[in-house]
Amino acid sequence: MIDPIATLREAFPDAVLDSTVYRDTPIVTIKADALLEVGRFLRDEPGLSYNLLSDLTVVDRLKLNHGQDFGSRFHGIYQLRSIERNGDLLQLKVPLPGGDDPVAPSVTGIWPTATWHEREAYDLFGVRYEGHPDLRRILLPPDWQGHPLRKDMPLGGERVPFSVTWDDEEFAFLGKQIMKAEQRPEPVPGRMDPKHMIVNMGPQHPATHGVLRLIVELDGERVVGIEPDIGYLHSGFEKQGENVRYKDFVYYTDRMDYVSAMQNNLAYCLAVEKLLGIEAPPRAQGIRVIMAELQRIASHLVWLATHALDVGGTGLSLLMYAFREREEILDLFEMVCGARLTTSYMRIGGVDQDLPPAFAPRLRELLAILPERFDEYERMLSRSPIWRHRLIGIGKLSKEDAIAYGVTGPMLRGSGVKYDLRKAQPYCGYDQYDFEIPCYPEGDSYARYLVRMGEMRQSVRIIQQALDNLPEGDHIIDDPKIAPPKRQLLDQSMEALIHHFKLFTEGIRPPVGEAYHGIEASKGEMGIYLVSDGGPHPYRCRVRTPSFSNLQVIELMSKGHLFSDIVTIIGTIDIVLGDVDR
Amino acid sequence: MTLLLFTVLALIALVGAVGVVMSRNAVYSALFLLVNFATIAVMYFMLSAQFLGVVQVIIYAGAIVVLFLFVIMLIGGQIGPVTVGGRRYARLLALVLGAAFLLLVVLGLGAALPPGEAPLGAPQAGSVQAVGQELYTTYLIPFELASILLLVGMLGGVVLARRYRELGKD
Amino acid sequence: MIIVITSVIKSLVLILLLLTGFAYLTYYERKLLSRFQVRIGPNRAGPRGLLQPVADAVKAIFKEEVVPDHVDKVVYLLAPALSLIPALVAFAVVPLAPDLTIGNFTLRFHIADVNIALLYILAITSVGTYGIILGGWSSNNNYSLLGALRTASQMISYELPMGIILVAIILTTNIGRETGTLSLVEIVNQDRPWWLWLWLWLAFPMFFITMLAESNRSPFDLPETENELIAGFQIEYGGIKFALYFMAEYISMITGSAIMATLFFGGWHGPFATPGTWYGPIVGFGWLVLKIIVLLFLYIWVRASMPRIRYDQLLQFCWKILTPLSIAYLILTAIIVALAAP
Repeated sequence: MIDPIATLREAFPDAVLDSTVYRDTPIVTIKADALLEVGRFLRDEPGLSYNLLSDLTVVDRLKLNHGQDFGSRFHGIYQLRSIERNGDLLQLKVPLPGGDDPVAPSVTGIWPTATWHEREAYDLFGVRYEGHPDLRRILLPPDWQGHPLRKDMPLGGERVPFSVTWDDEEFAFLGKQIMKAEQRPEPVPGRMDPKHMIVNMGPQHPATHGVLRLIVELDGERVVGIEPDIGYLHSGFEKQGENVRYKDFVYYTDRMDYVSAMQNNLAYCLAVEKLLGIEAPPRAQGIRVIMAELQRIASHLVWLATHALDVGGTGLSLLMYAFREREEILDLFEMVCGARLTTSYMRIGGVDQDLPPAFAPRLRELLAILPERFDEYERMLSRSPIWRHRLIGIGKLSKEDAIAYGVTGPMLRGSGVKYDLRKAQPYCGYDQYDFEIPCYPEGDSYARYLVRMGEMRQSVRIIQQALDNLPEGDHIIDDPKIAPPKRQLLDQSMEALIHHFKLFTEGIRPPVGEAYHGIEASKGEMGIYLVSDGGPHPYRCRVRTPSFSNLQVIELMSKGHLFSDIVTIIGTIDIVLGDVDR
Repeated sequence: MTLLLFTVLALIALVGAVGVVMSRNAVYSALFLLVNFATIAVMYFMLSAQFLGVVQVIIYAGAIVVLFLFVIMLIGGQIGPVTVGGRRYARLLALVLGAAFLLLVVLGLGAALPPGEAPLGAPQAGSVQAVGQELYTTYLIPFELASILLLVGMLGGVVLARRYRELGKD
Repeated sequence: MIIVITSVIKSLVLILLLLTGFAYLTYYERKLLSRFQVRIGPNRAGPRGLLQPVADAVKAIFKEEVVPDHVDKVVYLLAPALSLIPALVAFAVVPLAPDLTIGNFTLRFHIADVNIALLYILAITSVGTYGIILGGWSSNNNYSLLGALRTASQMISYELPMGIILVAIILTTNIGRETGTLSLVEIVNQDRPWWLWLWLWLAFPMFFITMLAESNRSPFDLPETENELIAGFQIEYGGIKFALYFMAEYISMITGSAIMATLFFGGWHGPFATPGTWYGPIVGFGWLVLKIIVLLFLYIWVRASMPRIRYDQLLQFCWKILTPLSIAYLILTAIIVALAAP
C-alpha cells in the first residue's frame, strides 16, 4: 500500500504546506501555484494514479476560526480517487491567493470533469479559474448579483413580498406585459454556426426528464453541438445545509435525487457519521442496505420506464410494467416510514424506526417475483431488433473519457470500468454480501442498459442476503448525544429527558474536522463533504451528485448522432434534474 | 354543361399557373403548381382519360410537388417573401425567352392538331386497358427505352449522392 | 339524376359512419392500450367510459381557437383540412356489402366502382402528405419543420413498396379471367383458388408495414414523435384543428384496414353474406366491420409492444429491405400468374 502523503512530500517538498490524516482520509495542503504540477503527478504517477476527480469545491473560511488558513480566505478542495486502487481517496486542499477575489489555476487540462465543477465554484464562490475554457455562471442566471455560498452573503437577500396591494409597483404593468410572439431571440451560443438549425430543447420538453434545457445545433438531423443549460431547479441545498442543524438536513436530501431519496439520506448520514467517528449498529446497517438496494431497483425501474418511453413512445407498455413494480417498492417504503417518495428514513446513527413485522414477508413476495419481471422486460426489449438498433452504438463513451469526465455509476461500468464503491470502499457492511458488478466494455447505450438490468438482479441478490442475515438489535445508535433516547426511558430517567431536550434544541455537535464520504447511489457516486467548526450546523456542506458530472458528457456522446438519438442519450445518462441542479 | 365545367377548370388552372409565377413565396408557388396539376387531372377525367388523370395526381401531385416542398424547406423554408435579386436585363431576357417559348408552343400545337374541332377519342380510349394495350404493343420499344433512361437517371442519382457522401467524410 | 342523389346520400352516410368510427376508434385504442399497460383506461364518462369520445369532441370543439402570431395563417388553417379530406375520400371505392336488389332497383354499397380503384387509392394516399407537410411548414417552428421534412421523405419512400405490392395484387386478378382489373368491387367478387390466398397472405405483413408508415402509426410515427419533436408537425395546433389532424390519422387507419380487408381477406365475404338475399348486405357489412376491427387491433398491438424506429433506420428499412422484398414478390407473382394463366 503506497502512502500518498509521503510520496507527495518526497516529490514536492516545497509545495506541500501541510498534511494530515483525518478519519482515514489523507488530506494534503499544497500551494496554489504548484497545483497543476502536483495534479499531473498524482494522476500520472503509476503508484498513485488518482485519475478520477470526484469532487471539486471551495470553502470560504471567513467565519471559520479553526485550522490553519495559510493566509487565504478561500480554500479549494479537490477529492481525488484512484480507480485502479479501489477508489482510494485523497483530499487536496489549496489555499487560493487573491484574498476576496480568489484566483486558482484551472485543472480542466488534467481532469476535464472540472469544467463544470469550476464553473459551479465560480458561480457560487466567485473563484476565477485561470485557463478555464468557458468560465460562466452555470446554476444561477447570468444577471445574478454576488456569489451565494460566500459566508458574507446574507440569507434571504431577495425581497419577498409577503403582502401585496394594488398600489404595488408590479401591478402598474398588469395586463400590459403580455408579449407578442416575436420575442427577443436569445443569442445563439458563440461557438455555434448560425447557418445550422438551432433547436431549443427544453426546459419544458418531454424527453429532458425535467427542466433541462439543451441548445442543439443541427445540420439536417445530425447533431453538431449541444450546449446544456442547467440550474432551473437550483434550490441552494448547500446553503441550506449550512444553515440547519446536522440532523435537520436529512429531510432536505430527499429532494435532490428525488427518485432515490433513501440513498441521498444514506450518503448524508454516513458523511455525518464519518465526521462523528461513529458507526451504526449492525441491524441498522442491514436495514440501510435493504433500503438502499430497494431504492436502487426503484430508481432503475424509473430509468427503464422513461428510457423505454423516450425510445419507444407513449404507447409502449413497458412504462407501466416498470412502474407497477416500482409501486410495490414504494408500498414497502410507505410501510417502514410512511412516505413513498421523500422518505427521510435514515437517521444519523441508524434508521428512524425498526422494520414493521409485516415488512419481511411482503418483501420476500416481491423478491420472488422481481426476477421473473426482469426477464419479461428483457424479453420485450433485448429481443426487439428495433430496441437494439436504437441503442447499440449510440452515445459511445470510451473508458478514458468516462474516467476523465468524472462519470460514475452504471455509466462508468457501461464503459468497461469495473468500479463500484460498494466493492471498492465498502460501507454499511457491503463487504459481507456476495454480489457481482455488471460491467460491459462497449460503452454504448446498450451496454449501459445491460449494466442497469444486471444491477437490478444483483440488488435482488443483496436484499435477499441482507434480509436472511438481518441481525437482531438496535435500529439506531445508543448514544444520547446523537440519537434520541428510547421513548420508555423518557418516563423513567431524568437524564434521558435532559438528553432528549438538549438533542432537539441544540442538536449534534461533531468535533472540529472535515469529512468526505461517497456512496454508490443508483446514478453514481453521491458524495457529501462536511466541514465542522464544532457547532451544531455544518460550516460547509457540499453535495457531489452523480448526475451533475454525468450530464457533462452529453455533448461528447451526442456529436454526430441524429436528433432522435439525443433522447436516447438523455435517457441512458439517467439524470434527475433535482440531482443536477441541487 | 361540359363547356361550363371546362371554362371553370381552365380558369382555375390559369390562376394556378399565374400564381406559380407571381407569388413571392416559394411554398405558395409550389401550392399554386399543385392547384394547376389537380385541375389538369380533372380535365383528363373529363376526357375519359381516367388512367392519365390518376397518374397525373400520383406523379405530379403526390411525388414531384412534395419533393419541391421538401427541397424548399430544406434550403430554408422561411415564412415571408423571398427577395429576388432582380437585374433588369435578367427580367428582359425572361420576357423574351418566355415569349419565344409561347410562340413555339402555339406553332407546335397548331401544326400537330388538325384544323377544326379535335375529334375526341373513343370513350374507353383513356382507360387502363386501352393505355396498357397501346403501351405494350404499339409503343413497346419507346416505352422500354424510356424506362432504361429512367434507370440510368436513377443510377446517376445514386452515384452522385454516393460521391457527395464520400467527399463529406474527408 | 338518381345516381347523383344516391351518391350524395351514400357519401353522407359513409362520412357519418367514418366519423363515428373514428370517435370509437379512439375509445377502442385507449381501452386496448390500457389493457396492454395494466391500466383501466377511460371509465368516467358514461357506462364503461363509452361517452368518452363525446366528451373529447365537446372539449375539442369548445376550446379557444388559438392561431399563433408567427404562423402563415392561410396555409396553417388549410393544412388540417387538407390532411382529413384524402383520408375520407379514399373510402369511396371500397365495397361495403353485396348489392341489394329491391324490385328492379339495385342498391350498391359503394360510392364508386371505377376501374382505377387501386390507382385511385395510391393517388389519394400520396396527396394525404400535403396536410402534414404544409401544417409543419406553416407553423414556423423548428420542431414542426423537422416533422414535415420527415413526413415528406417517409411517405414518398413507403409509397414505393406499397405500390409494388399493389401491382402484384393487380397481376393476380388476371388469374381465371381474360384481363385483370383495378376495381376493388371486382377484386372482392373474384374467386381465388386457395393457393392464391396463401400467396397473397405472404405479402400481407409487408403491406401492413407500409400502411403503418403511411398512416404515421407507431413505430413509424416519426412526424409527430412526442419524445423528441414533442408533437412534430402539429405542435402549434390546438382545439378543433388538432382534432382534425387526429381524425385524419385515425380515419386513415380505418381506411387502411378496410383496404387490407378488401384486398387480403375477402372484404365483406363471409358465411351467410349471400348476395341477392335481404340479409346479405347486413351480414356482409358486419363481416367487413369485424375484419376492420381485427386489423385495427393489429395497429394498436404493434403500438403497445414496439419501440419507435429511428428516422434514418426507417428509410434504410424501406429502401434496403422492404423495397427489394416487394420487388422480389412482384417478380415471383408474375411468374406464378404466367404459369397459372390459361
